[in-house]
Amino acid sequence: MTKLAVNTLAVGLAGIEVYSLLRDEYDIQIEFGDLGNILAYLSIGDRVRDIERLIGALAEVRRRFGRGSAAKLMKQEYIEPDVALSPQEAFYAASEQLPVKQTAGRVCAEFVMCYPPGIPVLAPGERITPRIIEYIKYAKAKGCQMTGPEDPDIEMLNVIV
Amino acid sequence: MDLWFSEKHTENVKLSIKVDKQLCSRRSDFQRIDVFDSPEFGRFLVLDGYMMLTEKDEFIYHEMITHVPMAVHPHVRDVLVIGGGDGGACRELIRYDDIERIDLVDIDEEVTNVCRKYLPFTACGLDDERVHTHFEDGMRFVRSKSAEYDLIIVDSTDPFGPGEGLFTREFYGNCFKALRADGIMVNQHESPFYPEDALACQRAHKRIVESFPVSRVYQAHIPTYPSGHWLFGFASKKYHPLKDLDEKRWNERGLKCRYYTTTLHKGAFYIPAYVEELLSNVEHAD
Repeated sequence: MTKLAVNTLAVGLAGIEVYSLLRDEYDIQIEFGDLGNILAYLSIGDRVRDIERLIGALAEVRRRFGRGSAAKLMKQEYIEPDVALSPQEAFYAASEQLPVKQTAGRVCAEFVMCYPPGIPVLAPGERITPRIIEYIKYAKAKGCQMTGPEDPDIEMLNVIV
Repeated sequence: MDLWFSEKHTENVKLSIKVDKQLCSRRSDFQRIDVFDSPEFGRFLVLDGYMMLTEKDEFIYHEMITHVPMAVHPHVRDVLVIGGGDGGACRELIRYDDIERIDLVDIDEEVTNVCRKYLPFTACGLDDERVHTHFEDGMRFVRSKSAEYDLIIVDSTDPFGPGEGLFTREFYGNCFKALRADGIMVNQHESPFYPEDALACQRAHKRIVESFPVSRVYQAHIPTYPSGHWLFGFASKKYHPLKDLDEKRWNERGLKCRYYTTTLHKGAFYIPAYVEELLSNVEHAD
């Protein structure tokens, strides 16, 4: 078994966009795409000609959908957390629900996860920064699946009072 | 002695050809290759149990897959043949003096070896100095080419087995890229008659329509293929298969064919109502 990771930023596409194009346009299901990469799972069930298809399809994705540069893409996937409270303290503290864009500077009371990659963008007790809000907006726009907050649409976030 | 070759055309239909003798049976890295002699169809080539060509009717397939695009495109210099390791398509192409280069890409060199030995009537097409053979995956070969060919002929086997990649959207897209701005791609397009074949036919058509601005289908009657009614795809960036047909120019070449004429060319694009319907169903899908 091999995990084939391909960085997609140089063609001007987020990994999650390439993931969707491979599935919708070329009938190829890969494991996942995050903001900057795709990951294909190659196993004993794949033949050389299947790999050829994947590469052929990637060449087509570049030709048909490539934007040529990574200028408009977010490259940073890991944002160093600013831990204000322990998760336990944050969990039991009083909180209020605010629109995401008004939460900069506040301490988050819940998890915000983006799959892929599935690592929390925010955990209870972490301070929300403008960069994190930007990241959440961007990941949502690119089609990542967001989970964690009480509001399933991630329009609102619970923050410590 | 009663020796017969049978091929199932569906679960419930089979075609049997009386065999005089078996000349060859080999297993390559990709498939089983058999050659037989028969009283009715002469010598014939079988891959993985499927009839590929017979001495008696191969002229129909090979003339139709080459002369149709050649009578439309005004200046073909560089041709790519994908599949076609038997040499039949090349045999027809080398009749055109103005073609400068033919790249033949077949995944299985063993097929060509067998054809050179047992099927000289098609393999003779491979000896011309303009023909360059490459034994590798056609998908892989075409992927790295860009605006290099005037004509691509996809002379594939069926959409399962070694040739299955040659029916995918990425492959047709890669061919589009490998063609010049006025290039034509012609492909073996399966039969519209039996439901399973018709489905393959629809799938291929849908993917070609998505990849090329002009995409039409034409037909021929090939006795040894399932149902006998066979289709070819004509996909192009610019030329229309009928409006851009230049009968005078082609006829002045003085090429004598046994199936193809410029009159038949026109008729071949007038397809039966049920075929038109099954193709138009996928042209406007989604």
